Amino acid sequence: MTVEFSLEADGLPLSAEEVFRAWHCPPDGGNAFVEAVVERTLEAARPRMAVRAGYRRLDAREIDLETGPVIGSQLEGASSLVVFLVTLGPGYDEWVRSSFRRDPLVGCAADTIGSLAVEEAAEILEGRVDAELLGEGLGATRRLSPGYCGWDVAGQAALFAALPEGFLGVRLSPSFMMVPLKSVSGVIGAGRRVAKRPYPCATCGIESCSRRRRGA
Amino acid sequence: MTREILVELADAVAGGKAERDSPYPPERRGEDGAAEICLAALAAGVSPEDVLRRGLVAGMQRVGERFARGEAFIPEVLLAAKAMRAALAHLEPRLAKEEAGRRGTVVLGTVAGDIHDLGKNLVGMVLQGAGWRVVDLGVDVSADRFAQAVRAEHPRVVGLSALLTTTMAHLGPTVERLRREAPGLPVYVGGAPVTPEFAERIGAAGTFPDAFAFARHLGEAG
Repeated sequence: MTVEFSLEADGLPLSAEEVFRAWHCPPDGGNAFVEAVVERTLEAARPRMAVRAGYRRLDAREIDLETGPVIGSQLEGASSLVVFLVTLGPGYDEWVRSSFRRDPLVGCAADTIGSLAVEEAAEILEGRVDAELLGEGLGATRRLSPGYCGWDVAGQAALFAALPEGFLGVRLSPSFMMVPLKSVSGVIGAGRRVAKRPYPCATCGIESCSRRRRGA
Repeated sequence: MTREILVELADAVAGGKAERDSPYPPERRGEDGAAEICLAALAAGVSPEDVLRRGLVAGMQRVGERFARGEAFIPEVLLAAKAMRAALAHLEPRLAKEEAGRRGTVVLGTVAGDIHDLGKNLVGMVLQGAGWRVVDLGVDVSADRFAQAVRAEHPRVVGLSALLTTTMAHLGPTVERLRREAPGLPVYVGGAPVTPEFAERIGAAGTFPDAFAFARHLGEAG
């Protein structure tokens, strides 16, 4: 079964403070002007997001994700896999590019806000999947994405093959990059013997990783 | 006169004052910005090379020093870059592609499979501010595309970026491809997971903790 839904950008919990945290800045960006620019960019960003999310649940035997050992251990025991996709839509990418050409600060803020927004949208999707699984008495792993924890980005091919063609308007480039750029794909393991385990951040050097920022 | 105007230009760039109408910094509202000061310097007969080196580059260097000391953050670098761009728009037509005053060309890009470009964009702006001509190939750039750009642009340096531990795996083959394409061309690598040991292992010329350290190194390397 494939599920698709839209999300209101206004409902995504975004803040200038999160942007500054991603930039390793003081919570106010260092000065009132910068804070005001990021606040304004945040306001301008929301109407440009056409947030779509969706997922498909498959029997774990139907799909070979070649996730590598770290992700593989997280998914161990899953009887089914929920392959998911979230995107802000193509208009947002174009807005980031044009903002950057106009003003580097606004462009960088728009870029970071987009990254945070699509992660928040994925968070909401994860919550919906968790609730659905819980209703069936099943546990869920955390959401896991190619590119992280040793799962090669080439793993995108298997994920996209499990979804309907052109799902949510997202496509893969020959090097497995998603277009629109502000998209997140991944998998959630489901079953009676799975649970959310901490991300293995101690083994990874990516300080800017969204999972690490959440302290997961 | 020349010295004063160039100091003023460096101040405007370092302070992020782009144009007279720019609202930043609030305490300099209504004052000339980098764009106007650049035009005034050129009109006063200051050479474009001096405007670039002693005005724009000096201003960006100052921000870099503050950034290195932890006194400035990314937004200030971006505001300074905006001021630099505003002046550069007037200066560019006066500076030929490889004219004196320019250090040469740097080709930059994020490797195949990786879409992260914030760090790479910062490097591009800082290098531009340090007097380099920057050819930014964007994100998801294949080794062949880098090689093509090297043939077309004849850069003095190439910079490869990767943010993910998994896409970092593309750095080695890209360095190798460029070594075949242009033996002796320094290829630097960067990104959160990249360490000096990794850079050395894949045969890269080096890696640096931030854009300013990279620019400083290239400046010292001549």
